[in-house]
Amino acid sequence: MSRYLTTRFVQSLLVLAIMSFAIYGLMGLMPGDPIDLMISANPEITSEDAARLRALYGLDRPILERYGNWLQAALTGDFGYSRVHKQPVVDLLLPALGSTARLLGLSLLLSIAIALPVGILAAARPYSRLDYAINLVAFAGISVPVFWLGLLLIMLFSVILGVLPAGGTETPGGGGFWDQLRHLVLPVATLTLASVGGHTRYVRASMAETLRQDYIRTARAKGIGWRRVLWRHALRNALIPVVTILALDFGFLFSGALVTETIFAYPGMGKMIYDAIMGNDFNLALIALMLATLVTLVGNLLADLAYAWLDPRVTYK
Amino acid sequence: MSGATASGQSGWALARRRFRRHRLAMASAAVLVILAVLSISAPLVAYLLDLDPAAVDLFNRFQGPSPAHPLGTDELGRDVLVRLLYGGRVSLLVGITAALVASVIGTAVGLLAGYYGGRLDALLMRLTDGIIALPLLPLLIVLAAVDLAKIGVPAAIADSESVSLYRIIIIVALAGWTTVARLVRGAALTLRERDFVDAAHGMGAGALRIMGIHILPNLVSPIIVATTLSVGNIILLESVLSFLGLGIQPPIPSWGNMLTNAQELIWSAPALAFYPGILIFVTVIAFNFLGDGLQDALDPKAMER
Amino acid sequence: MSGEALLEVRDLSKEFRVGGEGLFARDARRLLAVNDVSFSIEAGEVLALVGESGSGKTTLSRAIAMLEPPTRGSVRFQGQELTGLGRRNLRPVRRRIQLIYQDPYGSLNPRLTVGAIIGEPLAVHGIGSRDERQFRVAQLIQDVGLSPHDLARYPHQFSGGQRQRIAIARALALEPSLIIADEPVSALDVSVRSQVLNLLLDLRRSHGLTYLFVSHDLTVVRHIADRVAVMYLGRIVELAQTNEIFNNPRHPYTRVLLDAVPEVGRGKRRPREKLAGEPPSALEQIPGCAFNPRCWITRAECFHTRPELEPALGDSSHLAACHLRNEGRL
Repeated sequence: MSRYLTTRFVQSLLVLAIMSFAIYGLMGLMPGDPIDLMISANPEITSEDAARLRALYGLDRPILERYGNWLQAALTGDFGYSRVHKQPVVDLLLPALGSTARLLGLSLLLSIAIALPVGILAAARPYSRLDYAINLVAFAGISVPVFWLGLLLIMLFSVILGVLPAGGTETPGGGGFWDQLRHLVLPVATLTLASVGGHTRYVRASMAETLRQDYIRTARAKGIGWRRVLWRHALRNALIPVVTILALDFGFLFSGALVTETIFAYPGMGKMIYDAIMGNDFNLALIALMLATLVTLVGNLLADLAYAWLDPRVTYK
Repeated sequence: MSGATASGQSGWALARRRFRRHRLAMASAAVLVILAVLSISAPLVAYLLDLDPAAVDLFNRFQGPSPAHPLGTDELGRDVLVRLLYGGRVSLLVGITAALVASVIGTAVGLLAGYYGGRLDALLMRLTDGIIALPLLPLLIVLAAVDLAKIGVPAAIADSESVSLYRIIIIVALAGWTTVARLVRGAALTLRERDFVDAAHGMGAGALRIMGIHILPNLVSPIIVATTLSVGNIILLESVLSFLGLGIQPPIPSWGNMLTNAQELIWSAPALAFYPGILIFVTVIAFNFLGDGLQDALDPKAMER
Repeated sequence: MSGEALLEVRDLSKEFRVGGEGLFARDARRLLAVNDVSFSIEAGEVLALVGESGSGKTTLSRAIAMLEPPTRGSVRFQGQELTGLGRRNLRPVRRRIQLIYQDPYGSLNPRLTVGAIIGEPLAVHGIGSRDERQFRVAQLIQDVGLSPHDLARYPHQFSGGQRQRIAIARALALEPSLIIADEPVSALDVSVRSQVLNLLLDLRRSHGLTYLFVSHDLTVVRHIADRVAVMYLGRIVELAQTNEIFNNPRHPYTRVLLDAVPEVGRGKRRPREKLAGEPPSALEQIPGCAFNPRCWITRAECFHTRPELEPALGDSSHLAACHLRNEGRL
């Protein structure tokens, strides 16, 4: 077990290292560099000044050297300043991470809470009308563009009914807990609806597979009631693959969060990354992207662990 | 496996029969054909209605449906119907082309992994899993924002209007090949063990020949299924990137970028936010149903109903 | 035995690693599927390899064809050592050794026409022009009793027996010296078995072929083989002329195999011997004779000394790996 863990851990670190370099390299390919931005802000900088500034900031050095310097600084906790926010990047990240965690956590919980019973219901009566209907709705869920879903919800609840706010985290000038909760409803609903279709299909597929196993038939033949078989015997085994897929789905969920946050002006990691890239805020974009990658990798690692913990047949040496 | 096929009926005929029983997939195929025909005939519709998709008419913004503008006009007074049809051309073209590119990449990766197995397989599948697990959208946004001039693309191309088309096709294809790779790899692993592949080894055939003649042609079904299923995902990806302003660039209309301004206009013209979205939704769900139906039709094991 | 044998196998072993796949595979167990096997085949002969499933007969035949490179030992074919040859040097050898498989549904690529299937070996080796190949393929399909009209059809349009004929035609395309046939008729209906067997025998004469014939079916073996090698748990335990094997078996395992076939065991008055238990797993090592857990005539040495494959008293061509081979208790 511990050797397997070490291997996976080293692999994840390797992926993180590769991704950090790739992201760093891509950032250098974004339109304009910091000096260009200074020039556009101050037309009096001459091209000689620009060249001197580039040398001063080391921007004329080879990419590997620049990456090395950046990595050294980053490893000592120096992530640089955000150009747009005029603040250390770290100070911006933590609140955004918290916001995203709240959004993702709530949506994931809700989505599972819906997908579990619905998926099991569908699997219990395969190819029935109910199964068919659930399958149809699940397909709709995985086929709907998240941003459009968000727009529709805004249209319905904010424009037509006028019962929920269309964006932000609280009413300007304070609001309190209930006000903040009201602001969370539409983003959480959007992300939940966007992921519940896929989750339901996972649960249904896994449960249907489990119900085909011999020991389930044996349990039935011994006269154990259908409900008991379903909830006691099958559920635990069906959950094993579901747990892994949920965790592996983390990257997808994060992508959904980015869109949701952007639409609802919700100050999370996704929106921060998007704004930073669009606003040429290199330092911020770089760190935020790496953090997002790190979180997903940790999610994957946890999925592997959960799998080993849940499935007694798997022994990692 | 042999009962039906040995009696003289080919596998394809059987698959056709099974597919026809899949009503949703049949309906989806019909919907997609209609959408494709309408999109292709966009210039014809524009000509018949005497409308220009690019003609700005600021005196006629936000018009409701009328005989002159069946679906009204947008914030610049352009005809919504004609723009939707032109947008459909772009979205379908990008979706299908990118899915084909992704399919080629995925087939190559899956074939190599499945045929050679062992360490190459482990390596390629780790790569595939790694890509699946990454937070793709933010990374694609970075890719979409890359300055083409900085990677040595000549300015004449980098500044041309249609470059956003090629760029988005490449980007979403880079993200979309994993589904095909996994399915193809699984099928190739099974095929590799078949006797006719062994026989080819035995007669001294090389790896290229075995992959090209014996394995690839027998992978047609999983490739078709996986490609169809990825078209939906790829159209979704294209639309969200275009919506965020990083995909297809105006003035070329696409269903995604037609929604870019919809959020600000949602109070004044909610209909503008509705049409492009419903078209994306219908197209994607149709491709998904189609893929599902094909999977049932082409995989005998899936039909234990 | 006169002259040099067509195929000479010496101390051949094939080991498989069980478990442990992937990028970081380390601890794998070993399975000895073929264990120190030696025998030879004369040109023009039919040698049958018989045994239960899991006895290693298929692995042995595939190791000889260099489809599964042997772990140890030597395979000399027409005087040339095959082990250790690289892909490039094996190519000319592959022309002279061809295989026929058990399942005629799995051994033909469903996406190719029969013409393409039979012509493929020629294409692989770049023999002849396109027209010459077509002509040759038309000849071949008639050699196996089908019509040139069948060349444009696909495998699924044929019956099992016909498909096996197609596989045979493909094997003949390169005019090989040795054909390794792995259970070539056991997937076929009984009614067509003898037709295919007779075809194989006819082709031996007309094409100067030698067969290594792998089978678990003794009726078939008696019909086709000149000599028989019996395999048990990766080793040859008895090797003799077909008549000798059937009339005068020297190994208890051979006796059991014979008794399991009604029409073959007839005429023997002694009670039939049946096998006790399952064959032990090839993963475990049994001290002494590997057959001792299932044998009924054991004595002490069977449990500590492994019997070598040695000539029986009075017939130097009859080899058996049994301490009691000369005691006439079978």
